[in-house]
Amino acid sequence: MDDISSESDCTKYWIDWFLGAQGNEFFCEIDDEFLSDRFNMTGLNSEVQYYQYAMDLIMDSFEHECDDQTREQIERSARHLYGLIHARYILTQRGLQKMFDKYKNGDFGVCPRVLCNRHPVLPVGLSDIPHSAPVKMFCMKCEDVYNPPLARFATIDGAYFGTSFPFLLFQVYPHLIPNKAAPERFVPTIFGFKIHEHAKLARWQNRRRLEMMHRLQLYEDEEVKSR
Amino acid sequence: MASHNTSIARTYSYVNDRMPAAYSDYDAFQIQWGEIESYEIVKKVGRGKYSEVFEGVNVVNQQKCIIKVLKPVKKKKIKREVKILQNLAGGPNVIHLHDVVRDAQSRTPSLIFEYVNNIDFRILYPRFTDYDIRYYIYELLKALDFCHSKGIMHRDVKPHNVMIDHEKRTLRLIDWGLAEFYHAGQEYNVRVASRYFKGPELLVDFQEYDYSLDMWSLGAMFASMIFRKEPFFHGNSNTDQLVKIARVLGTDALNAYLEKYDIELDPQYDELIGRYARKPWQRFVNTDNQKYISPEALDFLDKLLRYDHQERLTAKEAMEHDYFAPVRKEHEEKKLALQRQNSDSS
Repeated sequence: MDDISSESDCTKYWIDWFLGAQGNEFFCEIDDEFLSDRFNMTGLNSEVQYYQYAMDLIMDSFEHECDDQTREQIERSARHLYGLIHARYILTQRGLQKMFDKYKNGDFGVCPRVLCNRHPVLPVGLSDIPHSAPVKMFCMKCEDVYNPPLARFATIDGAYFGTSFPFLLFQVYPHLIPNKAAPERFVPTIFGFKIHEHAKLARWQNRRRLEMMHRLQLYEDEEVKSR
Repeated sequence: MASHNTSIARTYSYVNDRMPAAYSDYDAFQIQWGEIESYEIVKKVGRGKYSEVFEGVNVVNQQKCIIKVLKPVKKKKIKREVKILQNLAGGPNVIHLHDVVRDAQSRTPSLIFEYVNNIDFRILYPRFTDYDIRYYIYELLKALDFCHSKGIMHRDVKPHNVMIDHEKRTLRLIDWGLAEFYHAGQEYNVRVASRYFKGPELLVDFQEYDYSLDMWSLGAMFASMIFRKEPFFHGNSNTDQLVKIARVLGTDALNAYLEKYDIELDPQYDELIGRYARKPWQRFVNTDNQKYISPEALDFLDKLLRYDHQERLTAKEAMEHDYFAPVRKEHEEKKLALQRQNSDSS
């Protein structure tokens, strides 16, 4: 106990506890700087019960005496508030940087689709409104969303990540976008034979894709020439 | 197997002996595999004991086809089917084999056939006129005489294996998976054909059978068509099948057959067979089927459904039967019309 209190100045107890709790692996640490700028919190006070106490708890400056039930409610509000702030933070330059590091680190896991070859995924919300839907995983290779692989993520609100985050990340870090010129597609077969209807559609799609790529190339060449 | 008197086919007895060894030595035959990528499955159309059957398309030429995926069986059996289909290629009313392919991974082999637009015989046969039956049985006889003349017995003749495109009035004999080369004096497995169409030789375990087995099966199929009774001999087991036959053809003729070839019947038949008199064919005629009945039809049937396989008409003899006189007449007229057309245009 003594050890911990002696380091109180540089350790953020609540946030460290929160980030270390099982199920919260997708969250990044929000800067003090961002947390202390009241402008960033606009509108959140009406979203969260005991807003100020919850904020104090996150900032480790909670000194209010209260009964266990209220304490529990404030704890819950703090977790919710952190999530809501998180959704805003990860859209900032610093937040994107932190999530980018976690992405490279593989903290979000990999795409369950076989032909994506364990391509890393990003958390995404299907809605920005809290309590709408739990967090999903987005894969940039197949451009699709999946349920998280573990049950503990199923209770995390998708609004803590939001609908824009993954796509904004790829705007800022375009080199992360995988090459999709020749996408690997699953080919269903019966005793080695392709299924005609499916194969016919796939052939048509591939043809259109090549035509489109060719057209874009011509367009680009024109652009270069006219410059 | 009890000792017995030998039996040799009345016709085409030594066809395979006169051919080069490679013609019938299917075990030494090497299959030329085609490209599986050229064919795609459209839909499932059927299923057999030994295969799954799909309608397919040849994506190289956009032609419809039939894909028969063989279930795992001995390689020898696959070689036999392919070799036989190739030996019979181009023959009248024999299903045409286009290609043989296999899955690169599982090596599951598949046979690619010409497409046939078939209607289930249970729906089609009741619509037939007397002439239709004569016409299609004649077409089937063409296929049988052809394969017999090439030294091959089909061994699974039944309505399910006769594909009829009634619009085009074409017929194809399919499923050559049980077909076998005939060698005089060779003993064959009696576990062939489908129960209702098994000839007495199979049921009494007489292994020296020949092409005439197909003529019994044809007879059983023909009887079901003209008497509108499907199947005609409705046995509940292989043993019961012989009992059902004996109830029609009688036991005297059965005993004469067994005696002629010195065949000893399995003891399990002792209590089952009993004694039956021969039932005249007229007894099966009723108001529903009489439109198909004529003295010629009954005479033709009588000459197919004989215990003694050597007594049955051969396919060639069958085609000369009076029953087919109107069909042969139509064939003649068509031939003349074609000749006239050719001489007019030249």
